[in-house]
Amino acid sequence: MQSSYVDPASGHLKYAVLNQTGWTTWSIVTTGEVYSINTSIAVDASGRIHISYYQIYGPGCEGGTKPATCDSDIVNNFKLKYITSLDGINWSEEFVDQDFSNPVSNGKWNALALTSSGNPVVAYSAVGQTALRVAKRSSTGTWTSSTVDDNGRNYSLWVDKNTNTVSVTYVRYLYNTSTNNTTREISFAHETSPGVWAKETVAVFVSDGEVIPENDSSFTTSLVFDGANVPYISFHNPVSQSLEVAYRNAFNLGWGIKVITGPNEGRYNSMTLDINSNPVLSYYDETNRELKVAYVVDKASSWDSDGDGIYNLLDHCPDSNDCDGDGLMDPQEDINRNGQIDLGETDPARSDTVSIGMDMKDLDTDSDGWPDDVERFYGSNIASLDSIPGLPIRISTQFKDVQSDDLATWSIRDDSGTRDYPSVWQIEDGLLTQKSNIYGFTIPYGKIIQPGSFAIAGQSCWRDYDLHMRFRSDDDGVIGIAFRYLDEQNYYLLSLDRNQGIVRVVRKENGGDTVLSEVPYIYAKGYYHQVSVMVSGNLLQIFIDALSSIESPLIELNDPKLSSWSGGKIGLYTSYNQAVFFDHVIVLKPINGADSCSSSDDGLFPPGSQSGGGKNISGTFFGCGRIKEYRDGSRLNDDTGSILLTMLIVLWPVFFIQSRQLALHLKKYLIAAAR
Amino acid sequence: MKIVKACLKTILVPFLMGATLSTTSSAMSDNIEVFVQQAGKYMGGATTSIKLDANGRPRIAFGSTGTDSVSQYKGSLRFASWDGSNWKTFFPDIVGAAVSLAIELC
Repeated sequence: MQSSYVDPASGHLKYAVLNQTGWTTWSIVTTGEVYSINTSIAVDASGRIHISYYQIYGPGCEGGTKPATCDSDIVNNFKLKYITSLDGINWSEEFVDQDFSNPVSNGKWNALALTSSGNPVVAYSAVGQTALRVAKRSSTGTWTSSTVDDNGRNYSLWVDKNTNTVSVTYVRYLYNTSTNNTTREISFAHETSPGVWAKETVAVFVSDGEVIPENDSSFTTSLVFDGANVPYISFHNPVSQSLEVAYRNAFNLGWGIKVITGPNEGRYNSMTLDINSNPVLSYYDETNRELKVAYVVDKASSWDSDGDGIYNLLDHCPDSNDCDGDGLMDPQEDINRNGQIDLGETDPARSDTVSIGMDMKDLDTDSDGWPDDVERFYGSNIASLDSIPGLPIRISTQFKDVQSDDLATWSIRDDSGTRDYPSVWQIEDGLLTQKSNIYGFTIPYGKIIQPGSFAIAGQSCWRDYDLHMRFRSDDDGVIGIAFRYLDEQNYYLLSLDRNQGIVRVVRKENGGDTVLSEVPYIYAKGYYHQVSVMVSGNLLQIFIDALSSIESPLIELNDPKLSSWSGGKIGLYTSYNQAVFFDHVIVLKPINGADSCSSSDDGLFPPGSQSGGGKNISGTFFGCGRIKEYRDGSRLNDDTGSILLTMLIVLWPVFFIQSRQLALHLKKYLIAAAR
Repeated sequence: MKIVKACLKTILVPFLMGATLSTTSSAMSDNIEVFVQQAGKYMGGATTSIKLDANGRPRIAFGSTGTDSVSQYKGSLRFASWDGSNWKTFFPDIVGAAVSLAIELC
């Protein structure tokens, strides 16, 4: 995949390549100042790259303050250019329109397509950027142009690969000063013979006031032809504000139009056709600020092999209406039948009865308070009231307690600069949920960790820990676990980003982000996943849905900074995820684990004390110097004073007996000595 | 995240003129259905460019025009691809506008 784009900061045209292994090349292909609104790229069968762009100033005149001579350069300024390369390294550029007379400018709006032999054709604005012209380059390098219409913007160009016939869609803008309204005509033209254009009006829209085409760049059109030479045009209806597709009706009776979306969707649209000649469109959803894709399926064609109502191209199993064989029909799982797992849906390609799944939320077979997945991880018997893993406990929380201050053991921090602020953390139905879409941006700030919200717990003196957490996400944003969290400028973050399909470990140090590891992973929406983070010395191991700690970790790395930090709290993290659920947060001190806590404030709970009598360990938090414990719903201790008092009460008989025994021993010794 | 199911209607626009285009087929019947996916978030007003890969799966380049009213949206360039089950979004650490996309079909 190759892309041309304009860097708005420098005004440079750039070129990018993405292949199966990621980004391979980023190149500046021209040094002139390029208009940052419009460029167009195509790649021919030989791999040659063709780009059209509008050059505002020539080489040496890009950016910032320009020499006075730049403004008088009538050859280079405000001209449509074409640049080509076979290797992406060596480029050659040409002027498309040969009219260099002052003050002619042309090409501010341009669209490029290729003939069957790879020769470029460019539609562009001319004559004061108002008229629509089309220029063709011959195989010998000669450009010839013809005017299509004296009024036209928002082009899309199509060249028939069999006949090389050129067609173009565009919008005519007609402002009526007396009525103060603007007529926009969705127009179509195709070349019947060289330089001769047949023009049609596809749709007409009238809106109040004057619409300046210059400011209407979101009003894009997109033109494609199907295999039967039928044209399709996508456009945004300026009156209803919806996305629509026009197509030529049978026997040239005119144009049919299909309304694809509701209001406030469809700007910046782009269209292609799938193998069934059904339109597939990308567009902008203004309300939600999202990129959407619409598959327009003609149900008169063969579109659904298994009759489950899911389009074959979106169906995980086009020949089965119960893809995963779990007894739930695919449309019961993929309710809106769009091939995605959306809010409230389950995966039609993944059984809901597998060990990691919906039914696992409260799975604790022996009711000993240890989740089965954690028991399995440490090799414990899930059906036996054993004490696993025999490690001191730092935190064990199931969020079952509904007392209002249960969340008080967690401190919430929302990143600055976030949108959809504030976060909404709450305990609900035995889960810790975060239901705000709170999010932020890494661009232009140059950060890696996307701003979001954190729920922080624990103590800064904790260094080594085994951290286990279960989560479910019904949205597809980012969730994560922070560890060694010192403050908002210094911590480690494990983030699971479903949109990007990656799991990433980042170290934030003094506000700077460093990626330590990044691996492909897509969590399943609507399913519980078990995540384990094990930090010991320099070693970090990440497990996701592991059945045992002896499995190979998903991520394993050594980072010297891990052991140089004095320790840190733990945190739960979300960004652009309005439906995330956390459960069973357990933090244990590993064997030979280090701390910087003083011995009196390590806040550890003895190993084995979890499982006594199969008690519920819900809502329990243990921290350095502060213990807040809810067991079986009853609050026991709340602060250090209470702890000491409790210890005194509990241990008094021991001390009393020990003291009496010591006194008796002393008495016996003294009597013996006296004899 | 909202899922949109579009209300569909057909409008006939009067025929004006035509030349060498198809005269024998109707592009679409009145019986269509629209399936909508959310392919990417954090999007400002942005150019989109869609192509299908050799497997018929969409790939999209999208990027801010640099004129969005929300400063954080300005100048971000992204790519989204559908792998048959999920949309993956690539966030190259660059700024870009006026995105145009080309995909070489294998």
